[in-house]
Amino acid sequence: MRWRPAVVSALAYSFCEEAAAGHRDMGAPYNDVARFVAREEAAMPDHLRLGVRLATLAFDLASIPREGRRFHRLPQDRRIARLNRWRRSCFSACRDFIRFYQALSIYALYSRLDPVLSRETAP
Amino acid sequence: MTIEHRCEIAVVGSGPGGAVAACLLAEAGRDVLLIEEGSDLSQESCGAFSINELLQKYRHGGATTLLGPSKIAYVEGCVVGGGSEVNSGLYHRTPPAVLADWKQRFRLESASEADLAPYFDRLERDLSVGYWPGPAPAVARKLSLGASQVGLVSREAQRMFAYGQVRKEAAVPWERQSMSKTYIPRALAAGTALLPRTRIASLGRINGRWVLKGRQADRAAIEVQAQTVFLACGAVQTPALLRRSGLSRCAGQTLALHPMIKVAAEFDEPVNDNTGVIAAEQVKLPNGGSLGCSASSPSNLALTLLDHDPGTASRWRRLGAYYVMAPGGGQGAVRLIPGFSDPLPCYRLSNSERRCLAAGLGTLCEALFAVGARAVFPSISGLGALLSLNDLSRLDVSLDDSRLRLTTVHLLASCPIGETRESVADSFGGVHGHDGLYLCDASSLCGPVGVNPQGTIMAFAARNTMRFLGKA
Repeated sequence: MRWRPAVVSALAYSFCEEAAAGHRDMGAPYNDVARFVAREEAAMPDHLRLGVRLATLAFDLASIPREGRRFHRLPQDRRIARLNRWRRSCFSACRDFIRFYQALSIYALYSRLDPVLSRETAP
Repeated sequence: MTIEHRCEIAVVGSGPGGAVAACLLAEAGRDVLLIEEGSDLSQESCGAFSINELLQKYRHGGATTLLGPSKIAYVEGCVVGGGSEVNSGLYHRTPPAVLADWKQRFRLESASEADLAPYFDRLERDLSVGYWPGPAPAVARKLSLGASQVGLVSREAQRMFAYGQVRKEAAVPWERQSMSKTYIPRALAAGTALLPRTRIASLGRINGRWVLKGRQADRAAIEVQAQTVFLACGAVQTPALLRRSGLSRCAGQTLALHPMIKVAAEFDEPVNDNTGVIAAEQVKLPNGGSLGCSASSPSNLALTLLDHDPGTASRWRRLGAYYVMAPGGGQGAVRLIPGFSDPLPCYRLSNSERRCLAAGLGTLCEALFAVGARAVFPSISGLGALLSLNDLSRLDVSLDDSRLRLTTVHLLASCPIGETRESVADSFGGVHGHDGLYLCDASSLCGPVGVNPQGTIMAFAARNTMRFLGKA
């Protein structure tokens, strides 16, 4: 698997497992969530997409000095630790990076609970 | 190979402004080509406010942000019919005070309440504007009752819905009157040619004709020659196109919006029937802001709860989503970055907007606690849930820009019309210094409207088009 889909998938799985918390409709696999996150990232405005991709690469590599492996190759508990480190970072760019992927993952995860609505059934 | 088209009038963008212009021009016998970047999809191609709608009908899949001290998430429709295909169908006339302000600041001609009334009357007939005939949803009743408990009045907004016109076997007899249900079919019946999935990258004047160059979704190059062009690409794309084409240096120097902050409230009893409705109850605040109901699907609630515990959204039946909206007043702009094709919109909140949001949040929380909310969750990073009126004091210290999670769905006024030096176009949308180039979308408004702007956009588009046709 190429590095970017692997990191996006690892991020999506990490956020979903954190949020699912035993809810029966929220269980793995989260491939649908990972696919949605990847599509959204690909659809972003080009200037934002470049920034997000560079930040994704930096995030993946940043675990090497401490963990000895890239983020997407870490076990889940170590991934969560890495996420929390960036969540609490004093750099807003790090916090924004985590929030971006978390928002997309959580939105896609909870859309599993959305009923199928046509425009005719609203309001 | 380049695909070539020739027409009398090219309308770029098929949202509320472009659809109205194309329809009126075609019905007046003109040869019209309607160009749209998004796909030609029916309203029924996906669920309302669903994840599929986000992927199919929103520009950049909805992953768009205004940069600035507060990063403001925004969304735009990108589909035949534009924003009207993805919004909640709420309708307002332009408040008279807003029109008076525009007249004073931009010396806007022929745009008084009386001047626009015939256009609004016509729109309201065409779009079946009216009130929902059934009982209000529970989330709306909570807001209405809560507002009265804190001394405010809530009112239901009108909607662009047709009631009782869909097939008899449908579970619910109403249909939202988006552009794909109204003006676009009329435009096509009157002879308009529709060109979906086509992005215009630049336009210029060659030998007395406008030449529009772009690409179709399959990457094929396209060139359109037209005598006249109506631009209706929205408040971000229209100024970007003008600037990229070297046609206006003023375009995009301004950008207005209505910043919103979302709030989720949890009650002891079920309040969320999750029918896909965005309830139309709205509360006008004394400071010009407003309160209202927001999409309350589990996925939207989870996003609102992102800075708290998103897992709370699994109790979605007891949760309602609300918003506080400020009437605008900050400073925005649409910029181009060399080497990138997508424009970069920026916005800086004003102090008055910050105060308005803070006061509105306090009022909304009071109203929700008054009707039994057990917890209120504003979209503010690090704030935590508010569990009682005593917790409202925490709101005052939390409204710094980096912690606010703001959104907007109304982007406006990046190419204001009028008769001043700041105006990109004259009072009827004609771009200064360029014959045969007109604006007819949200970009051409002179500032924020303070209410849902679709009615205003459509009324001005109709007015400008009728003026072009010599009928106004």
